[in-house]
Parts: sequence; structure tokens; C-alpha cells
Amino acid sequence: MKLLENSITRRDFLKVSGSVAALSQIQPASAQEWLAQVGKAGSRPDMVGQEAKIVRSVCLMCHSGCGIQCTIQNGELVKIDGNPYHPNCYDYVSKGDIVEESDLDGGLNGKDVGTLCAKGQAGIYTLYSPARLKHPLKRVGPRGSGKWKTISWEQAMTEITEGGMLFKDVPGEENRMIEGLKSVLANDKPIGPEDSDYMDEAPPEGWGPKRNQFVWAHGRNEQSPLTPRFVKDACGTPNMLNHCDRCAGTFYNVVEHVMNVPPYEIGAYADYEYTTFLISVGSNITHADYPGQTRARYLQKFAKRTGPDAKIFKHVIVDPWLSPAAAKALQSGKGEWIPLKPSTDAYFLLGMLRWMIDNKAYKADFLSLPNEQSAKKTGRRNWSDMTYLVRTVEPKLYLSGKDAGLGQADYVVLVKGKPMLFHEVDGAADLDAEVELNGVKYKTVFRMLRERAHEKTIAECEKFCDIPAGTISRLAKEFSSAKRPVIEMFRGPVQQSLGWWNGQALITLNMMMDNIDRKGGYIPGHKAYSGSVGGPKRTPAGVTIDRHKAKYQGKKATSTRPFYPLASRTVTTEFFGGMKQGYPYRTKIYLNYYNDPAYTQPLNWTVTEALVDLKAVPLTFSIDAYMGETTMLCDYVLPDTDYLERFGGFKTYPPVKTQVQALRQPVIGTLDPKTKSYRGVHPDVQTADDTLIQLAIRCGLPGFGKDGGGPGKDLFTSWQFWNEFYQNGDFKGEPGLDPDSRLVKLGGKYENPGKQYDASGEYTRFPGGRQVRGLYAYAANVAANKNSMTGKYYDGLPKYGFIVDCKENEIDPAIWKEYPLQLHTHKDAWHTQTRTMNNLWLASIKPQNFAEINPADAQKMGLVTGDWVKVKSPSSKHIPYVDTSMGDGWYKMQVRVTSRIRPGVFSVSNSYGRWGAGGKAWAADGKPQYFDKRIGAGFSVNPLYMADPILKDRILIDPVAGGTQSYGTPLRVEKI
Amino acid sequence: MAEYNPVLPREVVDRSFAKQGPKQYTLWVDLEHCIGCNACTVACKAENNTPVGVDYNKVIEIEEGDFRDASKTPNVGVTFVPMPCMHCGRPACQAACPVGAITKRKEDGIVLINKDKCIGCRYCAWACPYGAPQFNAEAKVMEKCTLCVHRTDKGLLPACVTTCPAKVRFFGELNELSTLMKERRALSVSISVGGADTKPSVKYTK
Repeated sequence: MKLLENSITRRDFLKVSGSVAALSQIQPASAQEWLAQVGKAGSRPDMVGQEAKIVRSVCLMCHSGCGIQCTIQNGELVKIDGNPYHPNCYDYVSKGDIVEESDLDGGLNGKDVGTLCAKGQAGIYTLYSPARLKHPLKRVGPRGSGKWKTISWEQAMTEITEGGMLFKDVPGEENRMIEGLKSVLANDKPIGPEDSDYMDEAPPEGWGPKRNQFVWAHGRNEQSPLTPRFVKDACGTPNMLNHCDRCAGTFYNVVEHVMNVPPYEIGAYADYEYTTFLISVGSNITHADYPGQTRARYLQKFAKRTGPDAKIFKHVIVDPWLSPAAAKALQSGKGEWIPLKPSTDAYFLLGMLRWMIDNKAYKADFLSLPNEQSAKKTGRRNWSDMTYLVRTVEPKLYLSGKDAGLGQADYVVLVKGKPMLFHEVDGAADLDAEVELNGVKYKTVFRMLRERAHEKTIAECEKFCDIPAGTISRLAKEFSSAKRPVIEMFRGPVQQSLGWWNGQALITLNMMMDNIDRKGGYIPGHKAYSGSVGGPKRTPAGVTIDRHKAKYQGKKATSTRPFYPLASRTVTTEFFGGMKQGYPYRTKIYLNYYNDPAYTQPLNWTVTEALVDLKAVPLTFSIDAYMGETTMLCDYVLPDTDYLERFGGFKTYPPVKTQVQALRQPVIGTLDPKTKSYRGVHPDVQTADDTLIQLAIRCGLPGFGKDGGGPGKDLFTSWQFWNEFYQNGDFKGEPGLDPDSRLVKLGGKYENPGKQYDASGEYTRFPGGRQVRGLYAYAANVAANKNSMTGKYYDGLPKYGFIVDCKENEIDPAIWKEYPLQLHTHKDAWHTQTRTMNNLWLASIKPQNFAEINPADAQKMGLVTGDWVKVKSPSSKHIPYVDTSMGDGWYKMQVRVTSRIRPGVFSVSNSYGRWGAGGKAWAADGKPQYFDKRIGAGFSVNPLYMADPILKDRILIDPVAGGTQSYGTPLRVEKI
Repeated sequence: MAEYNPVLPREVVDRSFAKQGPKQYTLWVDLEHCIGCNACTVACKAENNTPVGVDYNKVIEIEEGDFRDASKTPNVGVTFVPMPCMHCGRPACQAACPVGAITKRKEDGIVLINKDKCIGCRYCAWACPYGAPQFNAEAKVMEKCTLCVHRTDKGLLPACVTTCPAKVRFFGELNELSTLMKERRALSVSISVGGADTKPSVKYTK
């Protein structure tokens, strides 16, 4: 890459005036004309001329991975547009061949630009934000005191890696000896009683090596595979925790199981363009979800305007909140808003299933197909397990051929009542059937589902969901009779204690209609282009500290805290809950990487209390670009660059159907031509990649430094890593980060948009390949495992229910008497969790949020918009950093009365009420640092969730997939 | 499938208009499909370098109806209305300006504030029914949407139009836009505030 001028002078946002330093000397004649008409005072657009430089990269204002096209004028970033070559940003229907259309060296006038959302465009403010950290910091007061001093990188890295009496100047810590990272990571001895009070709950092979007492937790990690290389391959620990449990891990987990797709390919949505009837459950499409702007366009343009069935397209939104998508559905005159009661999704979904089964409104011909050849013979890309036999006594596993006396250990189906191995069937098997073998009854998955659905009547379902009588039946009828129906979800139904089962139910509804993978159907994602970096590595071992993917095998009958054998993502919330207790083993060092659980985690006092506890965790450090709410509780802060100042890359999501790997590259800053060391706008800040590489080298870990990527491949810097990455795998033979390469100029590798469907035109094409495969309505792996808190088997079928605790009991109904309202959250299109209120371009769009309540509830409490209320939950506690905390668990909020929220619900939009990232005062070297009250405006609802009534120190969690109960928990609200 | 251009063809921005007599260049916003995401708001901000708190384009949300009883079908609605300057046929701001800083360009109907002449008295803000003129507190001048005249004069579309993820904003000459709206069988509406008849040129369909 060409050296870029380094400039931090221009966009000085502290000077709020938009007046710029100097006009460019070269201006077209017409520019002169308008300039004379508007004058020179006040705000003025940049005179972007031919000398402007275009750098294409990938956004990270949210996780959608949209391509960006950045305009650099005189060394400053002046505009961010969508990258016209990235499928998130263009209309593929109006484009042909990317190669032919590429105008690689064209400036702004060379090509039209792609679309980009508000957040993406506001990245300029993020880059030049005055709230960014500019030097490494070490605390000089107690944790969370907000008192820091600036230190050198050398000191920070030495102290973190070597340990010692690091805080001897802090009162109370004079004699505290801290073990450094190097020593912790070098310790391969097994964790023993000195590290764990729960040795009797460990599996026979023990908890694992002591190096696992280093725990990493990231909020947003788009630096894979460098980051897992550091944590798993270099540090050798399985404790690479993510934020998925408080986000949408359950969604991905359940999609991967039921739809039988590999991890991270990623999720499933409707193929909007050809869908005719779409039900979106708890999915804030148009304002949230990934990729937000792309799905918005696919829905608003392709489905409703240009699609072949745009005239008959109907959109039904199931959500307690009248989301923008619901507003659009109603505005079209043919959509519907179904404001169900939070956390009653199971009743809605299984109610629909019941109606469809009772009325034979499903694709029986598809559901009867038991194997690949029968699927292929009928032109299909998949078949299901609906005809497979399952034991009716625990463990309720699929009947195996061996147990049926058929020899092999394969699935067994019935053909005209006779058991057969599934793969020997030519054509259809019995769908709704059962058989008795050796005194045990076996039923088909379909029959089990039917019986499950029959546990409640549709009238009962509607009562639970609190929606008008007849609505579920009517929607089930419309859904099952539509030309190309889809029911899709995002967080709503899955981010609950019954989330796994709700997700299973929803995907099963799609399966009933034979729409999976189909054009206009419910489509999962596909593989991104990927590179690779070789080199030596360690192998992680032992039980994960959050017990995800870990089966309970202790000596006691049940465990002290839950295990999550089926959670494919981590259960970080549970880690923080167990941290103070030292369960299952104690944490020695916590690294907070681009992460803010202290603000974003539901029931966040569990995080703040654990992180300030010196005994629970002796050493903490954070890699962050801001003084975030979690970062401010740590011992050291290593400042990170912004996403516009780093290397990397990212994929995309469905409904994009072409293959992608967008390249992240610095749009500004300097790259040393010899050392390949990169610096962004702040000279004493380096990329997190470089920080991790240096930590690894200091600790003597494999896979970095001299020959880190294999013989002759040094990995001393981020650039070297990514340069190597982009020369392997799908990039084999390409020149890496060569500034003249197509990769660098296009800002990624993009497949031509022409081919969207397979040869038959009926199914999506799945770039990267996908075999004809089975789908699993039944979760036998779930049914094979036990809840470690009860010793009872999990249920392999979707089930009716409301909110359950860690022992799968519904929360005490008596609680609603004292706490009658239900908590609920939503989100605006210009916000993410933690990256947007500290961006004043975005924060100023809606300067504060309100707690939104229905007029019926407002009337009961005598409230009007603007009134203040106090709110508490059965578990809320005072959090000292939060200004709206009144103590004793009460929090102050201002209400807005609106019919956009159903009665009985207290809905607060996320992202507001910050006390970190510049939202509150803090000091370094005795001097106050930048903060702005506008960043901290509004209210956060995270202190107000209800804790698990058994564990009491963390929120309710889905016992299977580990997702948090993010909606519907009880609240008490009083006027003040 | 009928091709539906996300933006008007480039030719529509005809640079020879000066010879053809008065024209009105303006925006059409398809409100049925606008999702209120504010991408236009930030595109405008980045393009025009406005300070925090000064936005030439805002999106207002209009809530209608009432919903209190969950046992009944909700009768509610929300409309998102992006509000740039309306580039009125009879600009109230121009009439109110005591120093003649506001002009309506003859060749394309774009209303511009000359900030060098502006004395920051804010009469235009009082006069405008749409809240278009914004006070830049530091420079102490009024400023507003210029329909990205610095871009359209070069044949580029306004920043808010190119970025719109839902593709609901269109730029062009008023008559050309009306033809397009008719083709789409969309019913055009103007937003009229408080009975003022300033002949707003920005068109909406709902």
C-alpha cells in the first residue's frame, strides 16, 4: 500500500463548526458558480476533485460487513459511501459482470456509489472522535475509580506479561502480588484444589491445564483468524468467550442444527425477492439484523416493488413493538402487525403448527422423503427426519437399525408399517406412524410433533399470546396456502430461556412447507472466500470456563452451576456469574477485547461486581479504542485503532447469494515500508492485532514472530499476517496486499452477481458448495443430554412454555402481582449497542430515548409523555456508575406514551444511557479527559432484568443454547 | 420483470436547462417504502460538513391511531417523512429575509442562502413552515439543504439520493419526476403545514 499522509489536524470535532481549513485550489467552473451563491461562511462541502483518493474497505460500525468506499482528500477522510462492488451495497439486478464493470482507478466521478446506512457513513466521526484513547493507561486508584495514568507501551506490555507488585501504590493493594500473563500461559500443570473449590464436579480427566485461567472475552471480533490464533493456537486455552449468548448465538446454533449447515455461514432469512408471504417474528428488519441496509433494500425494493410477485406480497410482523417494518407492512395496506405478549412465541409457533397439522396444510410428499436418493429423484436439495422413528422412553434417541434388528446403526423408518433402514427406502416412508419393538414404542418425528402441538388448543395459545381469537388459525391458513411462504426470525423468539425450542419450532414451520434452500424460501448463508496462515500451534484442552460444549461428568449427581453441552457459542453471561464464586475454577487474568459486557449485558451488575473484585480476578486488561464501561473497570487499557485503521476482512450474510470476502484495510495513516508497522491517526496507538502479536512474542508463544507463519514467514505485524492470509486458500496465487492488486483496489474478492440460483432455477446455488442434505426437526443430540442442574434429560422437541429458570421450571406466577409489567427492548437503525452514542453525528439524530408504554398502562398510572417514573425488577441492584440509579434497585426513567407498544410492556430502546466511552468524566495524569453529556443521554434497561431465581447472580438463560432471556421479564413501575 | 431504476438516469440531470426556460429540480420521496433509517440525514451531514446539531435533512415520525386493547386488531400507523428543504415555488424564507441573502435560482429552482450576506437574524427559520433553515451557532449564519448543488452542478446526484438503502429518494426535474410517479401509479402529495401555501417542490407519495 502506498504511504498515506498522516493528518489529524483537520476534522477537529471539538470545534463544532463545519468550517474547513482551506478550499482546494482546483475547482471546476460550475463549482465557482454555486460557491458565489452560497457564500463561504458556515458549513461547506468538501471540494472533492480528481486528486481525491479512493480506498475501499469494509465497515464495522455494525457487524453487517458492508463494503465501504472512502474518499480521502488532502490526507483526510471526508466521505464514506457504499462500495459499489460489494453485494450488500448494490442492486444485483441492475449489474452484470464485476470484472467488466470495475472502474478500479475511477474517482468519485468514475462510478456511481453503493448504498450505506447512517452508521456506516458516520464512521468519519468515529475515526476522528475526541473520545478515543491515545495512550496506554494504568489505573492509579481502585478498579472503577476512573483515575488513570498514561504509561508507555513498553511498561504496559512488560507489567502485563511479567506481573509483580503492580499496584503497590494503590491503597489496599500494597502487598498484592500478581502473576503475569507469561507465567500463567506457560503453566501446563492441571488445575487443582488450589484453583478450584469444585474438584468433585470435574470430569475424570480434570478441569484442564492451569493456562486456562487466562480468559479472553470479545464483544466484536472481526479479526479472525488472527484472534483465535492468539487465544486458542498460541495461548492454548479454549476460553475464547464471545458475546453471542447476549446477542443471537441461539439463532445461529439452532439454524445450524435444524438446517444442518456448518457453523458461521451464517443464519437464515427469507429470499425476499421471490417470497410471497412473509412472517417476521421478533425480527426488527429494516432497522436491525444483518446486513441491515441490504435486507431493508431486499424487502422494500425487491419484495415489494420489483419482485415478480410484488403485487401479492404480504408481510406479517409478530412483535410486541410496532417496528418500522410493521409500520411499512401496515402502510402497504395488506400487511399485518401481530403484537403478541413478550416471551409467548412458543404458543404462537406451536399453535400455527397445530393448525397446519390438524388441517393437513403441509407438504406431506416432501416430509415423507427419508433420504438423499428420494430427495434427488424429486428434484430436491434436501429431505427431513420427519419419518424417522424415535424412542418414547428416555433417552429419546432415534431408533437405530441395530436396535431394530436391521444390522446397521442407521436411522429407521416405517414403510407401510414395516421397519426399514432409512437409506434403503425407495420413495416415501410412513409420516404419521408408530411401532412397538421389544416392548418399547417408537414414533415418527412427525407424530411426536403432532402430539406435542396437541398439548394445547389454539384457543389456549391465543390466550397465552394475548392476541385476538382466530388470528393464529387465520395466519396458519394464509401461510400454508401461500405460493412461496416463509416465516423468519432474528432475536425475538430465540433470545429467551426457551429460545432453542422456539427456533426449532419456527424452522420446522418452514420445513412443513418445503421451502428450505428454495428460491423465494427460507435460505441459510454460504461460505465466504477464505485465506489461511500456517505455522506451529498449541492445542487447547480442558473444560471451558463457561461450560459451553462441556458435558457434566462430575462425581455429584448434579452440578452447582449449569453446564451447556449443546451451546455452540459461549455462555459468557454465566462466566461472569460464576467468576466471583470461582466456578468451576478461578480466573487469573481477564482480557477484555473490543467488548463491553458491563454496559451491554442484561442484568449488568453481575459483570461490574465481578470485575472489580480483586480476588475473583487478580489481573485485567482491556483492548479498546474508548474508555468503555467495562474497560474503565480494568487494570490496564491498551488503546486500539479504529476499524478504518486496520487490516482484516469480513464475509456477508443471506439473502446475499454470491460469495464474498471484503478486505479491511486502513483508509488513512502510515505503513512503514521496511517494518510493515502501521500507525493510524494517533501515533501512540497501535492495532489490536499488533498488540496481540507482541504479547505472544513476549510470552514466547508459538505461531508469531520469526517464522511464525512457517519457515521464512515472519509474523511481527498485522500487515504481515494479512498479507500472508490473502495469498492462501481461495486467494492462492494472488499477490496479498500488493497495492496494485484487484483485491486491494476493489476492497475485497467478489463473485459476479449473475448467478443466484442453481440450474433448475428452484434452489439457491450455495456458492462454495453444499451437498443435498437431511434436515432435523428433532434434536436427538439435545435429547441425549441431561440438564446438569436436575439430572433430567432435555427435550428434543419444541415445547410450549413461557420463561424458565436453569432447572427448566417456569418462574413463579405470583411475581407478576408485584411486578406486573414486562421489560422489552428495541433498536433504532442508526444505533448499535456501544458504537453509536459516542458518535455525536448519530447520537444527535434522537438525543435521548424514553421508556415507552401503552396509553392503557399510562392511564392506569396517571402518566403522560415526559413524566418520570422509577422502575425496579425482582433482581435489580444499585450500580454505582449509573447516574439514574436511585439505590435499592430503583432506576429513574422518563416515559413516552405510545400506541406503538402493546399494553403491559415497558419498552426501552438500546444504546442509550452510557456512562463510559466519553459519557462520564474520568481523569488521566490528574487531568480531566474528554467527555460529553450527550453521549450519556437517555436510559439503559440492562440493570433491570430479572435474575435466575435459583442462581440469583445472573440473568435467566436458555438451558440448551445458552442465550439470555432478553425480553419479557417482570418490572414494577411507579410514578415519581 | 419490469426494470425499475433505483435512481433517475443521468441524462435527466440536463445541464442545458438554462436555455430551455425555468425548471424546477427537486426530490421525490416514496413514503410507502421509506424505512426512516436516517441514512439520508447522515449522508447530508457528511457531505455538507455540518456541525453536530445542524441537520439539513431530518426524518420525522408521524404516529397515528390508538391501540389499547390487545384483544382487538390494532388500528395504528407510523409514517417516516424525510424533510429536506422543500425548495418552494414561493419561498417564505426568501420573503422574510431582510438582507436579500436568499435566492431562488432561475435555471433550476434551487433555493440558496448566501451565508456571506446572511446576518443570522433567523427570520427565515420563523417563516419557513418546514423547519428547513438551520442556525449554525458558531458561524452565526443560517444554512440549509442546497439540493447538493455542488454535486448536481457536476452531474452527480445529491448525497441523500445515492446512499438511500431502500431506494426511495429520487432527484430530477419536477415534470420528469411527475411522469415517473404517474408510471408508478403513485399518488403525489405535498406536505402543507399550517395552511401556508409556499408551493413546496419536494414531492411525496404514500
